[in-house]
Amino acid sequence: MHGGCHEVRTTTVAVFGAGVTGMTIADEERRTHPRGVDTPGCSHSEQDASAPYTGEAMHELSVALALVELASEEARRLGDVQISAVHVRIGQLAAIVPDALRFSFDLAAEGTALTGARLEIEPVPTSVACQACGTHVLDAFQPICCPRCGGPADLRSGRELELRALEVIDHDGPDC
Amino acid sequence: MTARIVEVRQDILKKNDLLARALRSRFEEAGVFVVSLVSSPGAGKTTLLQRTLAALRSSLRVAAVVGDLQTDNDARRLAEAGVPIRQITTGTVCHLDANMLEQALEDWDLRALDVLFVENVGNLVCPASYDLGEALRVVLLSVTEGEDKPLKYPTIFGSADSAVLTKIDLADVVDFDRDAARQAIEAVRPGMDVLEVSSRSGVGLEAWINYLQAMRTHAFAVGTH
Repeated sequence: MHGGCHEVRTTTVAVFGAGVTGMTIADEERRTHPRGVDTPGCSHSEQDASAPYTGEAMHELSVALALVELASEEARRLGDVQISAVHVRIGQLAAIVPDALRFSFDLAAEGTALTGARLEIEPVPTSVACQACGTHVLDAFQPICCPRCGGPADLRSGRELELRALEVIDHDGPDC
Repeated sequence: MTARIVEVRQDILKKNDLLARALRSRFEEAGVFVVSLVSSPGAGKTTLLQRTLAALRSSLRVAAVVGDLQTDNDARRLAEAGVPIRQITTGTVCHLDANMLEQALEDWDLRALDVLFVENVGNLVCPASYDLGEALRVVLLSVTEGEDKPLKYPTIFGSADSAVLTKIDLADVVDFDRDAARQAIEAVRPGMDVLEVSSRSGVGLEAWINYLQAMRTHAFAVGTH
C-alpha cells in the first residue's frame, strides 16, 4: 500500500528493538508499528490561539510524568533504594527541549521516590544507514535519506525517548 | 551507602504503546476500521470529517471521537451528521493518547461500528509520539500553510500513512505550489499517498471517500487472512 519508505521506517523500528538488551514486551510490540517511537516536543508546536495559555512545556510535562511513573516502578522493583539520578537518552528528532524536560521532571518527581533526583540527558544524534554508502550522522533539519547519494536510508537513531538507567544509593544494613 | 547504576533501557512512552497495541487488537476483533486525522489547528479536520461522515453514513456505520483542548464545538458540528460523536476535552494536554481514547470508547459497542474516526488535537508535533491503535493515520496540510510544512514537521508526516492537501480550491488564490508540496512530502515520506480535497467545493471528496473504502477493504483483507 506504500512505497519503499514505509517499509524502511518500519524496519528502522525493528532496529531499535533489536539493539536493546533485555527487550521488553513494549520493544517487541514497537517492532510492528512505526508510531510508537516518534517523540517530538510541544515547544515547537502551533497552538490554537483560542486555547488558554498553558506554558511551553506541556508535552515535556506529559513525557516527564510518564518517565517518573516508569522510573518509580523500576525503583520499587529494586527495593529500599534511593534514586540519586535518572539517565535518559533523547533523540535529536524527538524535539524535546532539555531544559523544559528538566523543569517538568522536577515538578513530576515532587513527592515521589524520585524527589530530588538529577535528570541526566544524553542527546542522541540522528543517523541513517544507506545500503550503498554506509552509515551517516545527519545535521539537524536534513531530510531522512542518504546525505551522499540522496537515496532511501534506514533511520538508525534520532527518535529515542528512553529511560536508560537509574543511579541508586542502597540503604545497607544497620552496621553501615 | 553505595551508589550504583542500574540499567533500565525502556521506552518512556511504553505504557501508551502497550495500550495502543491492545486497542488495535480490540478494533481488529470488532471489525472497526479506525482512521485518525492529524494536522495543525485550522487545517480543516472537522470540516473534512463532516463531509466524510455525511458521505459514508448511508452505506457504513460511522462514528467519531474528537479531541480539543477546550470546548465541544467540534463535537456539536459533527453531531449534525446524525452519527455518534464523542468529545475528548484534553484541558492542557496537546495531544490524544491511547488512554484518553480508551476511556472515550468506554461503553461503546465497537461491533456496531464499521468506521471510527479520531480527530486529534490540532498540533503537528506532539500527536506524532502517541500511537492510538488506529489502522490509518492521515495528516492534513492546508494550502494556506505553505508547501514546506512537511520539511518543518517531518516526524508527524513520518508517523502518518497518507496525506491530504485541504482547501485545494484556494490553491491558486494563495499561489500554492502543489508540486513543491508533493516534493516536500516525498522527501520526508517517500511513496506516501497524497490526495487533494476541498471540503467547501467538493473537489476531490469522491476520491477521498473511495480511498478510505479501499484502505478499509485492504485492512480487513490483511487482518483476516
